[in-house]
Amino acid sequence: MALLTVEHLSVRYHTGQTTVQAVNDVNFTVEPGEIVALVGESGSGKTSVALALTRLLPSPPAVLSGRVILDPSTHPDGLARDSAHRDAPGGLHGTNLLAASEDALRAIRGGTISYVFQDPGTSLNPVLTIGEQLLEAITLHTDARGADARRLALEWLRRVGISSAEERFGAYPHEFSGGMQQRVMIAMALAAHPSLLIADEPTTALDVTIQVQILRLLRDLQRTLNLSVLLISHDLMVVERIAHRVGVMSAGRLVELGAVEQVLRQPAHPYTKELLRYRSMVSLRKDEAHG
Amino acid sequence: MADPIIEARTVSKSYPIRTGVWRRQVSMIRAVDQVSCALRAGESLGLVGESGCGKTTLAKLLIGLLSPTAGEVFLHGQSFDTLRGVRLLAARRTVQFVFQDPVNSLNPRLTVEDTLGEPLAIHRLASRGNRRTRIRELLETVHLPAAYASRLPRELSGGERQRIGIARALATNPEALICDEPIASLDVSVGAQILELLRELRRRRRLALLFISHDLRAVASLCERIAVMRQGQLLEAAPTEELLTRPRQPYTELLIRSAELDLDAPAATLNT
Repeated sequence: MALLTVEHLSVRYHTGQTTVQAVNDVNFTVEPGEIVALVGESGSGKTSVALALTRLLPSPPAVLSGRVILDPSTHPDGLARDSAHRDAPGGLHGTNLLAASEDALRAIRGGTISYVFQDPGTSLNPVLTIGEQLLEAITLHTDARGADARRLALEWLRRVGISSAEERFGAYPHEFSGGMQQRVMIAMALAAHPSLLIADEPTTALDVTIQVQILRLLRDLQRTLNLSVLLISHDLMVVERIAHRVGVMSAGRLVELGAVEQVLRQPAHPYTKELLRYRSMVSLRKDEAHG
Repeated sequence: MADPIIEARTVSKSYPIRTGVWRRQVSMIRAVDQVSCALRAGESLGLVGESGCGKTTLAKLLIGLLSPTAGEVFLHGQSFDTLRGVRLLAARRTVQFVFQDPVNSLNPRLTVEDTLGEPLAIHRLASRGNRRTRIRELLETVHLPAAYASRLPRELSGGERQRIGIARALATNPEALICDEPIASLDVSVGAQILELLRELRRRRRLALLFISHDLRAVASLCERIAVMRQGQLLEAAPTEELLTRPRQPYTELLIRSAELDLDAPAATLNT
């Protein structure tokens, strides 16, 4: 069984008299150790899918339907849990997250399924130090406490490539650059030992040289920890570099889904072709330009 | 080689850094540091660099929206500092600006017709009777239907708003356009259409273009020459092909590798 199975997921927003169908009957799976990307224009429903998976959308106005199933047996070995009790709340694994209780979901969010959002600047708390925020993630979602938790936090800071972690531990978010803030977000997301990392445009707000560093980090972590990633992006080139499978969203529907090489070689949907056309248009290699 | 339309000779722009209760000046930050560059008739020059490198400050210096703390900017060989009154107005017609954010650069209360009519009125380019015709022409140039004249910005999509921004810049029949990140806030496919439009305008009107972007891929697809900025300085400038294949600066090479998303390249050491 797949780590995550999404069946007939729909999201509607009721606003005043009108209803907007943001996500329309979306089906996909994420296997253990797999990077699945969702691409599409803004407003195509990518982020609604990402947020709907753990019911992070306020309801009302959002109305969710379908099934989101998390399979516990596929938990990656590289991230063996410190304890079994986290599997306990509500016995959520194998059940439909969309029908789960709010309490049960709280244990999943940021834990089994963790998120990295587009804008690290607004995702971090400005009045808490980097260390305090990392410790919070660790104590909420693992059994580590005190010195152990601190050791883990420092280890994660080093893992995401933050040098002199000891000194940076007491720094505030504003003392970090955008790229470093995003690395802290990734460290926080991973410190909770997630089975699935949902990264929503994790590099869009960053400079190109930093973007490469973050993508390299995600790819390396996926390889070494057998992490599963759902990557939301509008950039086909990013997807091409690190994803295994890609789903193309357009107007709330998943219009195409397949292995990255296959979708890029033989795009079936007009929208995918349009994305590919832009990709070749802005290619740095002359032979592909203006194609 | 054609004479430059705009030329910057070792221009610098510094801002004071002030701290404390008395706002005492403790040091200066050089946003633009002794940059020399030129934009010639019909040329397309790309200016790339990361956020905070001084791209936008340089652009504002080039059209006289900011005055340099050192150095001079010349428009057809005349220093911007010496231009006043009618001649300054004429200079402003020569070079026009397209902004990054099509939402905030349009007055939300003005219809498309009013927005496009403003430069025509200020520069006295069309009599009241001709204005309608001229506005229709401008809309046609940016491939928008004439009926859009009565619309307000909020009734337009992001791409359409940017087209209005371009039409407004074209209203004075400029020789050069300076586009500051014109596609950065647009969706991929919409941005592609704006790039196509700029390419077409260049071809059809022999319009010189200074295209400022953090996206080397977009710059390379549109421009014949590329200049690379870092920390206020112009590191190097070369024809696109040459810059991409034989970068002289390690930083340029890093930018190219990053734009290609080369994940296996040695880790960047220039940034922390």
